[in-house]
Amino acid sequence: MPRLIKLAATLNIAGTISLVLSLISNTPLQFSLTMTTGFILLASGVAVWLWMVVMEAVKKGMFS
Amino acid sequence: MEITLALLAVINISFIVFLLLKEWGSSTPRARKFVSLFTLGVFPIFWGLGVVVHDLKQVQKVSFCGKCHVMTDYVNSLNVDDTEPLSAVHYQNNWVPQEKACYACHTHYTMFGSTNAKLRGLTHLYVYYIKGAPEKIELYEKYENRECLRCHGPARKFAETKAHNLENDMLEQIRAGTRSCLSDGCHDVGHSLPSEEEDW
Repeated sequence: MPRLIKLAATLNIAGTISLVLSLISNTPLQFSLTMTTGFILLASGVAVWLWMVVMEAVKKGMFS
Repeated sequence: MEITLALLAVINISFIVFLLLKEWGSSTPRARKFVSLFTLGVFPIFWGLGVVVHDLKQVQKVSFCGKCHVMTDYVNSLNVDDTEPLSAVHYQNNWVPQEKACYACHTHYTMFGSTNAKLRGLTHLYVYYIKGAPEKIELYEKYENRECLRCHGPARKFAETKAHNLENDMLEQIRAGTRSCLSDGCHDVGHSLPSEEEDW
């Protein structure tokens, strides 16, 4: 299992959990922190996955 | 809605765990790529946007504003039995959406008004948790007539009311914002607060 997939999966899971916590947060501070953290982690996970896809496409010569 | 979003999250996390734990072998099977595409790409994008949009709608509600204890008196003032305070009159007559009453009045009616309102929410966080909530809460900037006139401006009653025509150019001054709707002697009670009632 490539290391990057594990990283993407970890970021994804962490971001998902944080965003789910934002749905049930009680105070504006909890809400802001969970939503911001979750969004950043989830976006990072997607970015890492996208990077893997692009790198594989480059390796297969799809951009040459 | 929250339950649906949470359930979808649980399903996606299950698929991610499946992706990580299954023995895919040394080659990269098409199935693994398909699962990766869905669980790490497509789903997080749409689900994440859905959660953010839902969350941003929640912050517009009166119940969200009322979560900070310094706002308790202001939220309670919406139900005061008095026809003078602007907030009570507008809320109780449903002249603003009751679920989003705070947001309806305290958001600027401009292209980036709602964005600025959200950013102002972050300022509230800074003031409340870091700077310390002030003893007397005041608006960060003057309340513009524009926010009143977006509804009342086109109204015939606004233009014909005697109190708005006491001077020759009074209406023009109000429309231009040079004379505030909240001037002393006019509509000068926004919220009826217990501390202010004691002063009377």
